Amino acid sequence: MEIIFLLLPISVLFAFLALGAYLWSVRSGQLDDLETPAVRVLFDDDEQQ
Amino acid sequence: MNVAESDTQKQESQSVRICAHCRTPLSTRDEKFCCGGCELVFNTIHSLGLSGFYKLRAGTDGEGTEQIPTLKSYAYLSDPEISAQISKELPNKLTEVRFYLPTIHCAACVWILEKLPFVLEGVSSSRVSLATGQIELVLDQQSISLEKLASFMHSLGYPPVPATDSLISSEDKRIKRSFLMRIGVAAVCAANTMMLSDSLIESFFTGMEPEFLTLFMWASAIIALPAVIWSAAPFYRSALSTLLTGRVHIDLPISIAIIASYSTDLFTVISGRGHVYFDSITCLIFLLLLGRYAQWNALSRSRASTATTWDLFPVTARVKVGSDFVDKPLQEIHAGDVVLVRPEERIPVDGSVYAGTSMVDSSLLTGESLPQHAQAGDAVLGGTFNIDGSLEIVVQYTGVQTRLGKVLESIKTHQGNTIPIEDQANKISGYFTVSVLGLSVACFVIWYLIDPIKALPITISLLVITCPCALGLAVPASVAVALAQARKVGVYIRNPSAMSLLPEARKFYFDKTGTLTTGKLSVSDEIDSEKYLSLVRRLARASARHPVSLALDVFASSIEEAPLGSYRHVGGKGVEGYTVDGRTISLGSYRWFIERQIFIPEHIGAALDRWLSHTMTVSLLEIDKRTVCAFALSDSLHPHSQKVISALKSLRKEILILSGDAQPVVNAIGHSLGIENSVIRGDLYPWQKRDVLRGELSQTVYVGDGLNDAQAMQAAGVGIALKGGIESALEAADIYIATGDGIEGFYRTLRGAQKLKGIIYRNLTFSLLYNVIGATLAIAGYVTPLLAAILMPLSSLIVILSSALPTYFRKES
Repeated sequence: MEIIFLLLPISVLFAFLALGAYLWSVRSGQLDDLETPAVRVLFDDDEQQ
Repeated sequence: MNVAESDTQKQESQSVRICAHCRTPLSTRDEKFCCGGCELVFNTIHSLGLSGFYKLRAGTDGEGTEQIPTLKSYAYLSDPEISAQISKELPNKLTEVRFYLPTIHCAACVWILEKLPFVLEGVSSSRVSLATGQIELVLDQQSISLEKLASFMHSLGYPPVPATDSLISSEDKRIKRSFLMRIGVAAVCAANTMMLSDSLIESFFTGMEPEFLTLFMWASAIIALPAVIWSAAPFYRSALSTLLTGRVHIDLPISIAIIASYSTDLFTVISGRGHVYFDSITCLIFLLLLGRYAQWNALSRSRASTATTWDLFPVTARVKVGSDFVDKPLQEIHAGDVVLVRPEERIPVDGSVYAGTSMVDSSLLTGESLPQHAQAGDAVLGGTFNIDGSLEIVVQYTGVQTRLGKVLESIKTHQGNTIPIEDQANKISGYFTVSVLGLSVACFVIWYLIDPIKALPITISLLVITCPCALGLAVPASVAVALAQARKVGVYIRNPSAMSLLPEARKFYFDKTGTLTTGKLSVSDEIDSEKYLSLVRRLARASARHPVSLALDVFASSIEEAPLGSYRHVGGKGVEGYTVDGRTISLGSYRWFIERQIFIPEHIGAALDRWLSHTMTVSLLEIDKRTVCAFALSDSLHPHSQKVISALKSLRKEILILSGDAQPVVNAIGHSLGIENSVIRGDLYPWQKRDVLRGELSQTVYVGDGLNDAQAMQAAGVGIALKGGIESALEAADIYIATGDGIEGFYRTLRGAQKLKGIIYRNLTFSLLYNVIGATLAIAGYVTPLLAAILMPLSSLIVILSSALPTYFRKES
């Protein structure tokens, strides 16, 4: 089970990489508007004629 | 059978039909739209191939849209100085501009507005934010002017308001991002420490090799660090700052719990033996941050400002230059200039009438429900509404020197004086803090004497389990949910302390016009009118702008209009014309009839005298120079007023009325609601209302509906604005109610505030109980990390559910 000494730090690293990506997305303003994107899902793709 | 089919069948057989565009109920069978505005928008939308709008709207939460506001001039957007304030130059000659759209509210709105680039030449991108109610457009000003763009949006039903810096809050953005980042970090730390502690807890039962134990302990300590040092920093800051001012804030026990627990757990890890609570600590940080964020978010959305001084003062006016009238920005207009104000426009200046006659609606400033006659020599005020005639006005004051300007200025300067939140909840938290600290010290000392090794761990477990988590969520969770629910039903709570002051208040002051009454004229009496209703209706519809005409039209709405030979509208007086068989006919004011010396039969004259002595408005109809019938109109009581006032009385609240309308009129309304004369005051200007309230102690509530109430609202303990025509009252009001049912909405809010208070107490009681039990267990030495890890989130969950499940603003039957 000594492998855990390697695995644990690596998984934690991955966790923090993911966190880093999240922080980047917050700073670049992607989470500023959480309401409108939810509503955009309802739009159909077909453009009007 | 297709369900959809039977639904439409059902709708057609029902007698209530609605406007195809704005969905307000229609008064007659054969119409498809409620007004020309809706019809125009409907056709515009279809002709642009955007009928998907209606399909989309049907599928989403269908709250009726408002009726299309009358078209106004956006010419001011062509002024380079003004457009520079609201737009930004982009590379490749494009311009980015932001507008605030007060009427936006659903998915279909977003869809149609984001289709603008496809229907308008020159607009390259359009992005809407439902949360803030704003639209961001990129356009090429060579192909399309801002003025055209704004007019087009208006024609679709979304009159745009320029978004100056005060509307785009970069401060709010910063706070939101800060919250989200801290929550994210806390979440990751909590999740990972929880995983590790899962193993650690298992190890109590099954045992674990010491090297792995060390690894997991150290790993937990390190992973928890970012949460403790960075995510929780706001707690430390506020605890410290309130401590320095000598007050005790709930963030103090929170900060102590976190720091003390972490440091001793770290010590435990270094020394290699004992229990650690890293997962409870990080979970505490995460949950508390989440609660704070929910509360802040709900509050900032309720505060969405619709303040628009742009709406009140036209930005340009038509000034006489030589023999022509030229459009000029308001800043360039001076005392002595002559401005032209056309029907259905707002008067831009304080001044006196030089030429023309019209009816002027000054309810904005005085609350007077009846429009007043204005002719050469009469004084007029800026911000009031010119109804039906053209007026040439000699300018006396402009801008901040007008009466309205002064009122707006005084609102702005008093903006910051909101009452600090001295909730009882905080007081209780204060006592709690002190008790827990005292208890921890006592606990430590006692255990040290009994069994020194156990002293520290037990004290730490005491701090962790009495975690102010439940207590820290008791208020934010319920306030957040209450605010969010309020917003959904149309109650915008801008100042949360108002919710705690409202149930406590004793004295309730009400405005009359628009608050206790509908603010609209309706026919309350008539004489001899049956035979003539069809003619009356035709004449009334000919001058549909006037409140009297509207009231007469509604009164005669079940009758078919009779044809007329011809007719002519006479500004400020009425409508005159010829019947199909050539007789003269006119409908209008008493004054006009007297001017033209039209004969009035004695029985009608007697009725007129009676009505006028009750200060009602009268309208007469003559045929062939002989008065044949007459109507009395007055402001009618709001359908819910009686019920609400009785309910308030049964709650033993004191009810008073302050109004700008004439004393006898206000007295009459007061009587019908069972309120004595001694507490009714009429003929008050806005600043006089304010003075009355200033003389009172803080437990007052003022309920009003317009700008003329704004100063009073600020002076009262709690200022409540019912949706009126002017959104600027929102700036001054602590609570803004747009539920659509007027004073009923106010009552629901009062009940909601009482319910919120009840729930907060319930939460506090529960968390105190939980803490007592937890503390007992901890002091007795029974609290292990497992128990702490279970109890703490459980207590938070219970508080959250207790806050989130109830309905705060139920519609009472």
